[in-house]
Amino acid sequence: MRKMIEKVFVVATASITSLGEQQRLISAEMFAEKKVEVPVEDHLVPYYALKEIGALKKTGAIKNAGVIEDVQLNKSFALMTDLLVQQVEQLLSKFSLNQQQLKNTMLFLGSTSLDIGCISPDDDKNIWLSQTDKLSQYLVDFFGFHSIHFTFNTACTASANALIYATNFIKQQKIEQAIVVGCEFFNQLSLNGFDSLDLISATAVKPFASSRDGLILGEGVGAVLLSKYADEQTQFEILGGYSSCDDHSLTITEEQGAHIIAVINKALENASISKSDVDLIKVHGTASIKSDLAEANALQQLFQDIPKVIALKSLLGHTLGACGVIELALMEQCVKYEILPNFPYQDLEQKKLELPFVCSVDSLSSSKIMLFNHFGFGGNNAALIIKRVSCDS
Amino acid sequence: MTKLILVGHECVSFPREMTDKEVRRLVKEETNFSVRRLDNFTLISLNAVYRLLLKNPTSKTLALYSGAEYLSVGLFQSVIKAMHANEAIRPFNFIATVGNAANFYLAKEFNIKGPNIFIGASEKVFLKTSLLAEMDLNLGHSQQAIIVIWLQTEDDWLCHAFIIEPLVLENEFAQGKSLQTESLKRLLKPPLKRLLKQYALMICYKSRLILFVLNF
Repeated sequence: MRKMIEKVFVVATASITSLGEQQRLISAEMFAEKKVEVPVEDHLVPYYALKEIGALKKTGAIKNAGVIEDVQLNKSFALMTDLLVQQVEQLLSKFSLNQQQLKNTMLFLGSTSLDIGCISPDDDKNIWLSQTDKLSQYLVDFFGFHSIHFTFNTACTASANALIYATNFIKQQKIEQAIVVGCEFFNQLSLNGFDSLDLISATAVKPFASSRDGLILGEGVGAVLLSKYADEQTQFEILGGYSSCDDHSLTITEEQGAHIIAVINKALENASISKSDVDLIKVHGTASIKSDLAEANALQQLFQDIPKVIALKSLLGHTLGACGVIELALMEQCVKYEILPNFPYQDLEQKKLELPFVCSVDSLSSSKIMLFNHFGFGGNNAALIIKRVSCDS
Repeated sequence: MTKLILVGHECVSFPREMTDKEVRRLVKEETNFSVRRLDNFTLISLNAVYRLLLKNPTSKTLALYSGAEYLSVGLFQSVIKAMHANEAIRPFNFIATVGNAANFYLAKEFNIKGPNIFIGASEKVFLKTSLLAEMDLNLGHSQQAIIVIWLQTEDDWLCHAFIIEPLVLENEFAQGKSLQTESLKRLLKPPLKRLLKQYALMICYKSRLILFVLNF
């Protein structure tokens, strides 16, 4: 077996999510007041869409929604690629790469729905679906990345898996840097599909609250640049990760959490970290009843004292295959600027939360080893172990 | 440079005009799997891996890496048409559209406990899936890897299934022992040759095909 010697750092992050303008306000607040609050009433939408293109429709949950009226949410391929290019350009503005470095940079993209929101039937053709790597091929051609590129399509773990394999490529010295992108764009299939499964909340996204009643979908794009070289701004090192398939059910992982435990243990082993070293968990936390139950069961069995947790989907919605990268990017920002977003539902439901949530910036910024959980349809479960670089002696 | 042994390969194809129902019946007859409601994309991969493991039985820990240029064409195109006609989607049809749905059924049927990845790739599919497998084999996440590649064309549905493992005969190579090389032409039929030619070097050693995964 090959000995891995390279470290892998998250050297730049960028993301755009449904918070839209609000996200920019939050970014401003990050610098100014160091306080972030998303009002509870903003959760009363069936879908967190990018404001730049659509608008939020404030209605309760839907049943067999049909088309969301009054709101133009369908994306064109050009709009999708514009959003992707913007985020990658933002990355490269933070950590510039010359032409040759770009050519050696490998792209790993993760998405559930890819460009399906802009595909229309064409009766003149037998096959009118897009090629599965159309988005990543576009980015490779646009930026001149390495000709080998990957498109992960493993449901909600897609971009988490992209992160795991990009990390391994650098660790095993195949490449020096990688750009990992997670993207999810509005599409009627995802919205109606989740609705048909009764998974969409009628109230708000409340991960691990006893009153939780489901998720709200979100769209967004996240991008991170991984490199074997860190700079003075670098916050995170990816120590390792692991993913595999729980064949219990196509829609839900085994509820006692056995498979989640196995995946986390393998991730810890891969990262050469003991579970007692983990002091913060970024939970998957979709707020669906069974998924949160399985995750809570797993964490309760795995840890004698569960470390503090943070759940981000009440801010972003569930960005499906993109959440691995988007949530990593948001966490990196929170740590860098010492910001703890406010989660109003946690104040309201203080005694009815099933896990111990981070409640102070100090607790967030003093954490050294973080576990990132991601679970998806098709039984795919993934875990990543992240280390704070500033804590590195 | 990592060396991988190609332990076995199988390919299954069906004419495109064959309905889901007909494919389901054929696969059921051959495998005796529970195939109710499964689509062509999943069925053909179950059939290919079934034949692969029948001819190459293994007790080693397995991982699965699969790739396709298109998601399940028949299923997706019918679902998208339904969406455009404002028809409600059935829960099972939605779940079946998950890109890694076939991987789930393969894991369940063949007891694949290791990593399980589906990628979209319009070219170099075998190279990409093998590179992912190589990463995990190096890490000891599994002892063997199954690679599944779907080719959906205007005329046919094809599915290739491979089983690979790391080469553990490094010492023999280091000692410069002679290799019994055979003609790849005789070993490989054209579709497989096309898939594998992205490797710079392939040799046959003791009746096994060895793939040299080159650094790039």
